[in-house]
Amino acid sequence: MKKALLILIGAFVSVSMFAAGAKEAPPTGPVTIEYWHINSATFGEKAVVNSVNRFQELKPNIKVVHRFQQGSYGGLLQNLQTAMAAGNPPAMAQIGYNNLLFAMHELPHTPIGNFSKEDPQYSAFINGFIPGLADLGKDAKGVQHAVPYALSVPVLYYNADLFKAAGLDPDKPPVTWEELRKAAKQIRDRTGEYGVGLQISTSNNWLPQTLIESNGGRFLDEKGEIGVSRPEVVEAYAFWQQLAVVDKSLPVVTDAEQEQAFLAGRLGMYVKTSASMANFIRQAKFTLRTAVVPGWAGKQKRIAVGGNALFIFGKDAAQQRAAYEFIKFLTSKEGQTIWVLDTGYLPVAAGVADDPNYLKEYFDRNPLTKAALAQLPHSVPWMPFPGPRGQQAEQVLIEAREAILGGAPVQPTLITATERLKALLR
Amino acid sequence: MNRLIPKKENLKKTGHALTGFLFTLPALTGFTLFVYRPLMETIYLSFHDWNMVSRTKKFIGWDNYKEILTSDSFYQALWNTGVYAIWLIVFIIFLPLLLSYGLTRVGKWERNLYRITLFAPTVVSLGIASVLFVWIFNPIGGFIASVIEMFGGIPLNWTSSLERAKTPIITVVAWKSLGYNMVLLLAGIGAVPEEVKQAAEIDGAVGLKLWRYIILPLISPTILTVFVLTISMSAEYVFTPIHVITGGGPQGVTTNVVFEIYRQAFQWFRVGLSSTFSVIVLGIFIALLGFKIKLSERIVSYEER
Amino acid sequence: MKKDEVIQTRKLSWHRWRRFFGKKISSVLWNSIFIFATLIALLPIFWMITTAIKPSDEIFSSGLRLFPESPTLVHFRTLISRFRIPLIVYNTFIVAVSLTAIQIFTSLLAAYGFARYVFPFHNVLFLACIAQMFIPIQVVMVSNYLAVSRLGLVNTLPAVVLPQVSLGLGIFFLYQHLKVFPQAIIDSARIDGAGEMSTLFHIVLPVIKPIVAAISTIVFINSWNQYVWPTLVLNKPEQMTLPIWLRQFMHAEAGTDFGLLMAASFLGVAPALFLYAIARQTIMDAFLESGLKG
Repeated sequence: MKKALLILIGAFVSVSMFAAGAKEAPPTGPVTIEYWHINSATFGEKAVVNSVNRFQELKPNIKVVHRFQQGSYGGLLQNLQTAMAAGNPPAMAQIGYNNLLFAMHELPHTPIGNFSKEDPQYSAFINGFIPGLADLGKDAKGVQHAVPYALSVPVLYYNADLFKAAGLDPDKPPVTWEELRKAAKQIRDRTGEYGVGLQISTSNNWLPQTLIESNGGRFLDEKGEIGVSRPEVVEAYAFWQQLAVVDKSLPVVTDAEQEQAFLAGRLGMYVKTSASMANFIRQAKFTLRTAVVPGWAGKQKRIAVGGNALFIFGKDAAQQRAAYEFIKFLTSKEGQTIWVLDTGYLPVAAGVADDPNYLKEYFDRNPLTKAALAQLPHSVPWMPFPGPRGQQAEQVLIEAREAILGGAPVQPTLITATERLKALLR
Repeated sequence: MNRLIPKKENLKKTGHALTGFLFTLPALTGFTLFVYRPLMETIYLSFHDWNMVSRTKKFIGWDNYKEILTSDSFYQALWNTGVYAIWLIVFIIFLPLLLSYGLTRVGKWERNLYRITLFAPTVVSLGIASVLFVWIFNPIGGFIASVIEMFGGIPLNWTSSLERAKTPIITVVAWKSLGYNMVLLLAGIGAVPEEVKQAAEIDGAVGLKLWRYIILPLISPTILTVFVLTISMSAEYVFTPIHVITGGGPQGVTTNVVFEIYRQAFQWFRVGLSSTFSVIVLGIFIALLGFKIKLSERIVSYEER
Repeated sequence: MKKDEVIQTRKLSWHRWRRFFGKKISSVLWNSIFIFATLIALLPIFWMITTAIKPSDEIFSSGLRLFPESPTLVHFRTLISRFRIPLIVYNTFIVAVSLTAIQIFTSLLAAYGFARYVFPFHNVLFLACIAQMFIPIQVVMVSNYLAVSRLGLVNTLPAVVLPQVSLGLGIFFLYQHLKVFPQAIIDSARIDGAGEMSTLFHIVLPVIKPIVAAISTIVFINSWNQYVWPTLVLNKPEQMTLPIWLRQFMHAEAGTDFGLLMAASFLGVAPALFLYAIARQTIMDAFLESGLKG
């Protein structure tokens, strides 16, 4: 009797729990596709909803269900890996550029290029991108795996009030890193506030890539050799160290801390992604100005882009086809207009920025974003280390940077890092 | 000192063995299906190279174990976890015990007020708490820095300093969890029978004496629970502030075992390696629990002599 | 009056005087310690609230000035117009209540079983229960997600609850208290013919109610703030819980919108604190009822 009661309770508990979870209704309509994105209600969800609605009008037989994923690209990828392991991936998803190589080589997907035979308008679609940008979705063999969607570049944000207080001309922001160093020191000396902050991350080396590649260095060269301890790289890191250790114009703090310092008006310049623009405009009380990211005197700038590319992960042909159609819409002039207006990302479609029917008025109205747009001709793919241990290798560089900014000698630190990288990437 | 595992002869045989087992069955079923079944998979994966999505899991024998046991970051994470544990024991076991005593020294009205104010932080999630403390510890214009500047001092760097980076992490967890442990300890103190306290008071045990000789020994089972909970917090709770505030840096001084497990699997896509890490760490924890049992058995038998 | 008596009286009054002021001093000392602790406990929450009512451009520019110059409810208005907050709070509440109820139930049964009965592998099984406290969610979550998704439970409440029906902490804490429960009470219940279950729920439970209430409080708050597992298995906007919702105001690329984040955090903290205030009164009553004192 007593045991029966126990069992009864156990059964009741399990039944009541299962009963609460009624199964989902089967999809209605011809094709329903799921689209995973990272656009929260305060950053781009409106653009996603508007795009989905507009697409619905254009292609009534494709229903797009959009699913917001928490925790940015890392969070999305984590859930995507889990969903794939369980055998139910979404039809398509945004993949951050830093995970592009991983997605291309490790995640089961349908390359966009597969549609080149099927779709007579395929070449028009690819040629609709700003020249060179579609290549961001290609691998070394030239296969078009994905197409770029969100595009951001580093921008030099600066506090015009602090510039004036330091006796600098806000209309003449620094153009080279050497000028930036001088301006930063002047701000530090004359106002007592910090001069400059460079965006850093605890999981990638996005801005350092721009700094190093613009100086002619490469973390990994074309032959696949590690270039971390070569003179161009050493020079760039040494420059960074001098800002922090010699001039003390650059605070050695976390990125969240320098962002708060900048918003508080206690940091003169801040090199950070263009995606932060709207947030800065909203939270800065001082006169916020922007300029193109500085370069090294006499050298060609190479700016690593951030943002995301669109991948097709759907399992059956109808889903893949539908996802392809939606991707074409999202990267079209109309799709890009909806997207850029709400997110402040840079457009990937050619000609849309100067087109009075689309984004011309927006760019005229927002001079701050012009700085970002002006960077596009110098854009290069964001290149994390490739291979199964690529992401782990990023950590080696992060720790080298932390050591260098903490005052460790630059060259020996980078030589040690090279050895560690060799061991990891061999 | 208390026993972690009951001595068989001390258990009162209230009923049949089967009835007792049936009582534990719902919980054991849950553990078997959703903790130990996955753990078996983890052990299996620890001998493989796998990125969670590829179809093939490559068997690599003890390679993952060798890689971890020869890597500095493993020992660093282990050491850091120990440091977190020690500080948390001070801040969320000793301090709450002291404060529980203090609560008996203030008026009834104040007591109720302090209980609510000290509990308030626990309802804030660790993620949000971490964001709040980023501002508090920010060396440029943060709360602590501003107070120091107000008195003409030079603000300290916390999160990016090799020596002090653990401070904000410990503060977040201690701030949030002190109230938790306090609730458990106060429940334990409340459960001390009134007659025992009165009898002790008649014998002249008042104030601190009452605490030293009557209350602390009687609530030692609760202290043991809180102790084990705190050790597990130094692994699991500490993860969130690490993730939000420092990302394990600078140069790994703030990382801990759970953050390494997370990072290897979900940031580096090395699930096999992450599984190995989990297996080793769990082995260490179980060994420590076992050691604790042996230790408490010796102390108990000494006391029982 | 005799000399002795005078001395006696003096001694007594001296003693009283000392006791009286000793108490006063210790009370003042303790009160100042508690006020200091209260300040530390409340400062971050205070900053959360003042930030929530500051205009965006005042949040960081105001430095140490904690009170806003021009307070505004704009962040709250934005949140209320854009999100179905009552639904989010309701979802969180349902998840937290389900988790707490089921975990306390299984823990109570298991703790009673371990504390009052002898059976084979007793100690090994008990150790296995405590060891769960040391297994991080990251270790089991992928495998559990696969299981939950094979059962077709993704996006349902059972997907959140099922993998967490048992809780090592709950078993451990309740075990410690059930172990010392007077055997005489149980024996007398048995003489009265009470069954095993009814002994636990009608005789034992009422006495340890305050203990159960204390651990329930902690399990509830933990469930209220649970993030990693729910974000994996709850994917629909209409299933959003507070901790998942809060994360979208912290965006790695676009930066953190502090005004909205803090207003949203406050909306998440307030109901939990309110529930605690109510629950505390109940816990206090339970202590009085059961003859224990809190």
